[in-house]
Amino acid sequence: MLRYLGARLAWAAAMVLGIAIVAFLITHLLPGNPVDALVGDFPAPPEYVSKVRHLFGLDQPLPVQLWLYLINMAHGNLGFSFLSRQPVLSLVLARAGTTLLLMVPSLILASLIGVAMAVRAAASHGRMLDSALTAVSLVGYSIPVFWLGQILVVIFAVDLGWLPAEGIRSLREPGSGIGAVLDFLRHFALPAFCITVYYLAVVARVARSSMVEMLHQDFVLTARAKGLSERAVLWRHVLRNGLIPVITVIGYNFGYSLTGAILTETVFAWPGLGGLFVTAIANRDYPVLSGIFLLAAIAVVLANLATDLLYAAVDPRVRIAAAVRA
Amino acid sequence: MTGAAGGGAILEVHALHVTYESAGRTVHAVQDASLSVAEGEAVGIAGESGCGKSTLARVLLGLVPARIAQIRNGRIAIGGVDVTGFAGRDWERVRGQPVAIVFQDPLSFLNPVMRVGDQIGEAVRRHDPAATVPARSAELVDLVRLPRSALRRYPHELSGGMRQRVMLAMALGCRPRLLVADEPTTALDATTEAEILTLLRELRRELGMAMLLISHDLGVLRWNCDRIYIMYAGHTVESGATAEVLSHPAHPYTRGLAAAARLARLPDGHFAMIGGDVPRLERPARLCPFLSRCDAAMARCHEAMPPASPAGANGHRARCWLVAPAHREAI
Ligand SMILES: Nc1ncnc2c1ncn2[C@@H]1O[C@H](COP(=O)(O)OP(=O)(O)OP(=O)(O)O)[C@@H](O)[C@H]1O
Ligand code: SF4
Ligand SMILES: [Mg+2]
Repeated sequence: MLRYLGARLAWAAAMVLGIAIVAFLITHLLPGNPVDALVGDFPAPPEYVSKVRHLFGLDQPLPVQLWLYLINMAHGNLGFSFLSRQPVLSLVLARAGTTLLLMVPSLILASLIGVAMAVRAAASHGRMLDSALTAVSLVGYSIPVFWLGQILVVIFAVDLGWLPAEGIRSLREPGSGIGAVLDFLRHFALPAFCITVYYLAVVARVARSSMVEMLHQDFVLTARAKGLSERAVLWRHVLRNGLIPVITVIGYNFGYSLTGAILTETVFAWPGLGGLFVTAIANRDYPVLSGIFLLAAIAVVLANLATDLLYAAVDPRVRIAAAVRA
Repeated sequence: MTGAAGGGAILEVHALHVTYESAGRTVHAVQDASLSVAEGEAVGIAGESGCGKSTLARVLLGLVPARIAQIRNGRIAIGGVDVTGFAGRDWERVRGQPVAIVFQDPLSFLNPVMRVGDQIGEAVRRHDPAATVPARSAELVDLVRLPRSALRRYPHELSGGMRQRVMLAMALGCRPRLLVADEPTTALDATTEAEILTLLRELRRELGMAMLLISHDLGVLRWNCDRIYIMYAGHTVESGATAEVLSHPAHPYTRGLAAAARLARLPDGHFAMIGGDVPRLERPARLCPFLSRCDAAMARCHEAMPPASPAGANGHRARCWLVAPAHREAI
């Protein structure tokens, strides 16, 4: 298991390095000249342009730029935003934190509710609850998030006036202590609902079919034959086996959580990575774009690592196979 | 064709008819099966693949899929209690105690992500509330001659024979009065099969528990059962003391089985074939189900279903016009 862990970690580190190089290259091969973005639209004197190019290292050959980028990265220095001149790392991390504040609770909620609904639905296979769940998850899966978001805003913010339409805190009276928390939760509710509904649908669909499949396995018969209640059969025997494919989906969702909420963030003006990303694209802010790509990719690698370990924790057969491979 | 068992019967099945209904097709898996098992008695069921042995075994514990399986007729009584109309949680009063079951393939029938000790412990906790779970679990693995370390293993880390011992330990943990064993050794090699059968015999003697042993191997039943039932296409066609039935088979099907068993077993462990086709199970038989394959068939066999009739010593009975009193009178 330890050797397996070491191998997985080394692999993850190699992935991050590769991703850093790719992120660097992709952003530098995008069309558009960042100097134009920096200097502005009016014709600038050539000396000024070359001064700007030199200031940001853009006059160096690409490999040199890459080398400098990697060295700096190792020191936690991802460069400075062309636009705001702020360090990319702190810029990106602050926004990533805000995004995770929205995503992580929503994903956890969606995973828990999705699995619980799937277990109950699988148990009532072919009956009302099951059909209802199938319908709900289909709808949740197919409603575009920006459409749902805008409907929610119209109903709860515009018509009823119960919840704020956008942002993360009230500008005028953010309050303090409990008041601030409540204020945050009021802002959190609508975007979190949008994200939860979508991921709930994703998780419930996979979980339901997995649970139904497990329900027909032979060992379920043994569990019943012992005289266990159907409840114990479901939650102790079916759930644990049925979780195995669900873990993959949940891990995947978490891996892409940094970039998974861009649409929702835009609809609700949630000050997360999404806004930063859109602005950076519009302004060809390469360092920020690289930073976002890098962070998002690292999140994917870490989530994969966590998924692998969780897998091994739930399924002893994976542990054995992994030990043999490692 | 209720058996001759004296004393209290732990199990009585009378004229049982069980169907599966799926995708618009009906399968009459068990059509007219009657049998009884007395307390402490070892009873065997033999028959070809698909004749309804597993269906019969599972319906005793309510383990047939509720949505597609249905008891159409007949009666099941366990320890004197009529369980025929049982549904849902009712079955929890039967399962494990007084009736436990072990299945054919011990790998797929054990939970792959749960330690053996936990799976055995679950049975103990459910049926033996007074017992200390770890102590009783250790006792159980001793009983089935497994090392104690097996408790910490997962099913895939054990051999086939060890897994079947785990299934047995789990079943015994329920303290059953009747153990149903549905082809418990079919998935095992010959040596392991012999070991498990020996173990079963010893356990039965130690615990005084009744057993319903299902097998398509007459040899296995000959050495392990006091009485035996022969099943054909969902019908119990012959029954009686094992030695009597096997050495003086009355029903042409049993004769064929016994002859085939003497000749050879196929590499897959099944009997050499008796000529002809097994009847389709889409509708219940009105005549003798063996008619299409029987070379002793006579005019009467085309007119009505033969009744179960005495066919020899020690409660030996068969459902065949050859032994029916009406036929005997006629000749
Ligand atoms: N769940 C099910 N749905 C539909 N038909 C079934 C189902 N289970 C069994 N059957 C059918 O019922 C009949 C009897 O099957 P059963 O498993 O009881 O036979 P068996 O004597 O145990 O056979 P084997 O020796 O192969 O185990 C077969 O025709 C089988 O195809
Ligand atoms: S009843 Fe007739 S057809 Fe059936 S087994 Fe006896 S002789 Fe053969
Ligand atoms: Mg069977």
